[in-house]
Amino acid sequence: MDRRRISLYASGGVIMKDKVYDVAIIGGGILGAMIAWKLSSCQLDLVVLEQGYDIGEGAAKANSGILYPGLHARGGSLKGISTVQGNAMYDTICETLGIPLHRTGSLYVAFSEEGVEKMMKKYERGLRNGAPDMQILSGEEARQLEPLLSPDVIRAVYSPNTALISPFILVTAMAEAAASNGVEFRFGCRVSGIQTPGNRSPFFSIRTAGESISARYVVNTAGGGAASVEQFVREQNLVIQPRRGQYFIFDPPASAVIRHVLFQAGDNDEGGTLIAPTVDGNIIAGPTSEDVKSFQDTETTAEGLAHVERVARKIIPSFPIDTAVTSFAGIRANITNIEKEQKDFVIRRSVKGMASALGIKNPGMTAAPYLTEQILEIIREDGLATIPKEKLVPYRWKQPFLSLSRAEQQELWRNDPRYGHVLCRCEKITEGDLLRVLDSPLPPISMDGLKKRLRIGMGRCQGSYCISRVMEVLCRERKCEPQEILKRTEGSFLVKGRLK
Amino acid sequence: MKQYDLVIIGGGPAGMAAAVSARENGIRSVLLVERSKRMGGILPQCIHDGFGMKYLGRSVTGPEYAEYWIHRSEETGISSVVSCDVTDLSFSRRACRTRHGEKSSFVLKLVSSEKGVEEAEAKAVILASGCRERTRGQLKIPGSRPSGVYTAGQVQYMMNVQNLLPGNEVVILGSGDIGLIMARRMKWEGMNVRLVLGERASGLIRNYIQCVHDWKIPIRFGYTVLSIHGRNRVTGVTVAPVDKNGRPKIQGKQEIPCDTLVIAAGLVPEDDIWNSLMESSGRAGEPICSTDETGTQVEGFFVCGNVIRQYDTVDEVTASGWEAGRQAARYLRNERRLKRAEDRKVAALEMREMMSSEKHMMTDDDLMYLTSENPEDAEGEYLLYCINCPSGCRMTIQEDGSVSGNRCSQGARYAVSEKNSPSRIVTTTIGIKGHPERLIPVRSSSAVPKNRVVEVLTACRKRKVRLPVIKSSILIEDVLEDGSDIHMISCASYTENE
Repeated sequence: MDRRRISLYASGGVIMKDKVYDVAIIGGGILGAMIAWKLSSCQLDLVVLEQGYDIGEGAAKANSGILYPGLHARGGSLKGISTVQGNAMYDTICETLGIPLHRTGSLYVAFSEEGVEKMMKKYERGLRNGAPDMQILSGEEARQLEPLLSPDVIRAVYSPNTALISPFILVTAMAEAAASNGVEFRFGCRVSGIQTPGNRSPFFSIRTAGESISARYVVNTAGGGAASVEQFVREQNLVIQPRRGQYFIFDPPASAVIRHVLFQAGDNDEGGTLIAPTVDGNIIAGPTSEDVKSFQDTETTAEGLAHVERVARKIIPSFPIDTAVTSFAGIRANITNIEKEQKDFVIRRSVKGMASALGIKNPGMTAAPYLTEQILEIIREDGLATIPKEKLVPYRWKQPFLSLSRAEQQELWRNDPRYGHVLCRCEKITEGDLLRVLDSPLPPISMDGLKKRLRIGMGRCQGSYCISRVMEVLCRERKCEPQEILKRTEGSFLVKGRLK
Repeated sequence: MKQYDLVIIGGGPAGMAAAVSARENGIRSVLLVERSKRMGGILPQCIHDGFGMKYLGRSVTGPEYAEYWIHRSEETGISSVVSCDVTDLSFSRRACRTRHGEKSSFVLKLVSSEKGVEEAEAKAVILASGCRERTRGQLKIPGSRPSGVYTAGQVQYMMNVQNLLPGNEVVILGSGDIGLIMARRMKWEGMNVRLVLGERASGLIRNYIQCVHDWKIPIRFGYTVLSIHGRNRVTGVTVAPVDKNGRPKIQGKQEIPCDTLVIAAGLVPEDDIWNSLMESSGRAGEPICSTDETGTQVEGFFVCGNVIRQYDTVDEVTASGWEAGRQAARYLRNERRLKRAEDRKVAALEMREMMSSEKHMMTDDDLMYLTSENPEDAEGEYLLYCINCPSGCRMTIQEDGSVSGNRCSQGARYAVSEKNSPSRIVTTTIGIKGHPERLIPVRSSSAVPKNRVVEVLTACRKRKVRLPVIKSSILIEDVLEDGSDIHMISCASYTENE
């Protein structure tokens, strides 16, 4: 929880000066973590450089939490194909990691003849992208699947492959699995330059605030910063700008409201706003789509939130708007110098030995498994040998204590009675869960890191019961002062210190 | 599985009163469950005074009021557990047979460090779990999401129990009692309260006077927070006036720099346990329906305190708990309940009315008077509000010294003393040697002259005491050091283990 401890984790606290990594991954989002996890099964020295104080601090932290069906992107584009292919690859990924995946299916609904036209265009895109088993439904049929759906819905496309997944659980599970198998993670580590292999050194030399890191290969999955990172090694022909999406989280008994992901053929400026259940039993509504100035610009606005509410009510007229628990905004990396109809995800070789992923906005999480393969393909072509390790440290994502079976609970509690001390009531997290996470292969440095791993503070009370009680445990366990505990990064202290 | 006649969920003022009342009405096997380390619910963190005016006939602090009920429940022989959460509630598959036929019973899941996860069965349940606070998310305040945005109860716990300083420059959204009380608390602890704002005047007049007016804390009614700023820590909030319909008037907006935003904008029932009961029986989403104050649509399931209705004073909460205990006892003894719903309602209301009294809530009229420069009006009359009890009588002192407008003799005494030498009871905390993470709540043994309150607060800030501390012991003798014999007295007992 303390600045001094940043970047000292997975390497056992020692950073070796002249170490040369086989692969340095710049950016610890979903794509970066997935590549790290995939490569961690090979005999390679790996490091992930992340500017935030945790994995998944960018787009991973604020997206819809769904696997898209593959009918949004242009037919036959990399985005379209990687969505369909990536989506299908998640069954194995989730099973391997032991994380929840709910294949609820989705409805893409249309309210007007014009909307039906849009819908049919999506359907055709879906066909070209290979989206499986889509069905065109009448309004009636759609309402049979989703009883509270607006009576104004006249047609819908049903996609059975659409799924719910927690981006938080996904990114932490992959990163923890990677860390368990020796991948180093450096946080608060912003890349300020890259020297390509040449006369001075046969390796890439990556400059960060504190030091230079040498690596044989570089993977650039820096999300919003990917274009700037690539610019260190080649001329940049893409302009990537931040686009903000605002969301609401609602907390009714979700199953009583909706069962599927609901996309809509937007009229006017309604964009891709959707509503969906979450794996945690909430409902998410959003996003908006607004160009903003900075990738840090994650403010929500009254207009944006009103828009989300309006669309949610349009899809489900009886939508329980008053059960909102929180709102937030995420930033997607949007390529702006290419026409909309030509725009696509860009996976390319930046220079020999370095691959970049650019403009990976939604549905980037869905596409990630496929994009991972593409990126690995590039660096393999450039000579990276991926020889499997003889022995892997097995990893399974752990469920919180109170969701376990009675027998498992008894066993854990007997070993550590603190498993019986409930810290977070809304999400049912106990002190034992917290201690386990602090002792995990990739322990959180910030309160938001804890939130990602345990959902502490994400429930109805938004942390007003648990946060200061969690701080008490952290002060004790980490032997730190309360003012050293951060919410997110430097400067986001939770308290000023002791009163007396 | 342990079996009880009655399990009460929540050991705050409602739950404790319900337990004592059920016991005194003849129910033997009662279990009272509290999730905190200490019995009392939210009372231990409410270190200010003004509790128990009706029930005890005197004004005590939150911790003292809790101690009173802890003592009574111990005397009555109620079994109680602390540091224990009820995480699930469902109907038992087994029905209990009585001479009036079959009644369902309940299964509770209890989680604690001491016993792990265990189940208990109860023939009746009283839910006394109180409220949560409305959060920034529920209020849908847009802006960034920095640290430093807290709810009032949360900062209250941090400051009064955990010895934490949340920030230095504070804006408080919410001008109800909780917001006003926290404004004073923060001011007294040396923080700068830049503004208290709320959409309309609310809260008891006595709290307004003691907390805001006394300490010249800026307050604005008819305002709301439009947006929150700051990437890491709060750097400021934008506020704006609202029109009659609560819509902000953007042209009047203004940014106020601060490092902390406290949200004191209302409460929502903590009814998760009810929801878990409904979900377990396939009735997800059904709200608690209480027609007669404490009974519900589920036989054997009773509610009391703030989980069912937000009360203004702890006395009313106590009364509600007392009534729930009585009703649960009647149910368990198989007595016929009062037949007509109307009658039940009347019986319950009687109790409440006995406990409550007229309450003087802030109005715009009061505000206009209180914020005017000169409290003495043209005829030489001296106008003031009594702060002794929630009635908040508006009184007048004539030139000859006679007092009018008061409804009791205490009021008259207060009026004279307020005019000549205003004084206040001081409630604060004292640190503990070797335990920086805890504080002892204390109060002054008698009222301190208003202009010397700061000296008392400073003395308390400097002092650290050793554990154990026994309730009502003098922790600082003659705190003003002038022989006036005002002492600082502990409001609760603390042992080394806590």
